[in-house]
Amino acid sequence: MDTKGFTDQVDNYIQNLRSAIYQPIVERDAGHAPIDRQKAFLLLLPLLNGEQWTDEMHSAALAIGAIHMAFDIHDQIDISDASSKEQQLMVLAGDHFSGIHYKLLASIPNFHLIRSLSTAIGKINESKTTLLQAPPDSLKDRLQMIGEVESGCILEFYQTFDFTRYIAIVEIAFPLLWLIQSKQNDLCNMKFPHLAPNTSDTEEWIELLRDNLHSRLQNSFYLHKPLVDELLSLTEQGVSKLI
Amino acid sequence: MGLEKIKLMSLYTDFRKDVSYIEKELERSVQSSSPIVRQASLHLLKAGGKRIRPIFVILAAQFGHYSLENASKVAVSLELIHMASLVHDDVIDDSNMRRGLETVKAKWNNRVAMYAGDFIFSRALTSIGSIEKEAVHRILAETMLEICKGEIIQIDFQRQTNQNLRDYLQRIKRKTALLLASSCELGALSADADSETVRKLKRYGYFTGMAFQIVDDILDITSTDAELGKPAGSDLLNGHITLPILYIKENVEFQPYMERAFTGDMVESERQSMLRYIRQSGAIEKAQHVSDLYLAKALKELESLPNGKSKKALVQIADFIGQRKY
Repeated sequence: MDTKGFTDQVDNYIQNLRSAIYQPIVERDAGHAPIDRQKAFLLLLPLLNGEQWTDEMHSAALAIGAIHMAFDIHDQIDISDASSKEQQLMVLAGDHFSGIHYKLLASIPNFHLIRSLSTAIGKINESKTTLLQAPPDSLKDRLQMIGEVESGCILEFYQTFDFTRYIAIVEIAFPLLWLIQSKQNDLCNMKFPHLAPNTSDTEEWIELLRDNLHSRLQNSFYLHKPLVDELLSLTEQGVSKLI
Repeated sequence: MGLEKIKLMSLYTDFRKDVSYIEKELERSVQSSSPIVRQASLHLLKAGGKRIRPIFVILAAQFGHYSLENASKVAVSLELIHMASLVHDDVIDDSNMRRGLETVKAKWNNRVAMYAGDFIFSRALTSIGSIEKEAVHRILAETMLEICKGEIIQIDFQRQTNQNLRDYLQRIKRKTALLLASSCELGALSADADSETVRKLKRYGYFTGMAFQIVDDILDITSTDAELGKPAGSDLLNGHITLPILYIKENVEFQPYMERAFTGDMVESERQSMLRYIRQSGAIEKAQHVSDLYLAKALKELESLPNGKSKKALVQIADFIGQRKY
């Protein structure tokens, strides 16, 4: 599969996700909820690498996309005033997306994933609360927590479907992407902008994580070269031809 | 503990041990490694509530092969889903008080309330996740989505005066009746009750839920601020038209009150005057009559079920709902 193939797969997934989470009143009054393409790309790594992709995996991947959307929209709720109609609908849109995630898992039905994902979702919300109210002092601990928040559900998906060899890649990629956004001063679009580190720490950690990822990719003989290139491109600039 | 909750508990003394077990399970299920999440969740648990959903699960499960362990998983899950929705509702309604206690959003902030609600929701799925019955999960997922749809429609209808009885009934069905119907249905299903019994219990829960919400909407007007733990008339002040208001919204004397309530300009003396007007208008009695009709339908569903302690408790709960004071 080449870049065009990756783009088509991710587009197709996003289209299916949009259709699964559609809610007419929310769309009309609060607009399209954003879908994180980078996260979708990392979730779909096994598919893009040519692994066997069953209908069950497809439904489970949509369920994870739905819960990611729920997280993302709830992260946008104003900390002190959510009384506008748009904010009220965003609260409910997140709850609706959560409900869709559960409905998709129930429709498979995959009871193991219902249990393991619910545990992961609980941990993610604990970590998000900690990052908001009482973040760890060191950047290392913060990065680890951000990585857990961003990758937690994807890791459960990989573990459930025996894609564990991809785990190390996403564990490194998420904190790295967060740091790249921080470096680009993309505070509007990044998660936890209040935790953005100073420039020298950012550079140092970007280098460290990039080296780590590169060596991981070099040793990942199972990854097709175009996918390695795509991952390198994404984690060099925070953008890729795909995104 | 409120007087009404004590009265309700006296209706199911035979199942009190089971209810206390579930209460402990509820507390255990919201334990968290994050001190803030733990405090927020326990704060909410301590605010109490009537625990009507867990009670319905236990009572409905008695009509099958009862297992406290299974019933508890369903009961905890349904109560946690209800609690999670309350935390998020307080963000939406910008409410600082619930049941006489500060809300999570007031004690911490909106974002903590969002995360605490999502955390509690995750624990609800953890609890029910060990029940490996497809129908249980399908029904619960559909119920959650319908509840959410109801809330979305409620926001859409906020401060709109062109609502009719059908709109109202659809709304309270999603807001309250469906979760009570599912409590009975899932309780019975988890105990492998026969399909006809499951259907009757589900309908009992549904009709009781409709009556419960109508009474809740009446009490929002007839109770004192202290009894409610929030200002009486809050529904209208938040832009929600409830059944008593539907009956009088066309009255010329009432319309200025409604306009002032919707614009948020109402002062305290006007609120008191508005409450007096509604209480004396006859709208409360009309709404109470509709609630009574639903309760009669609920009781009818129970008639053909086998007699026993559980059926007796369900009958008494329906009576309690019709007569509760706050």
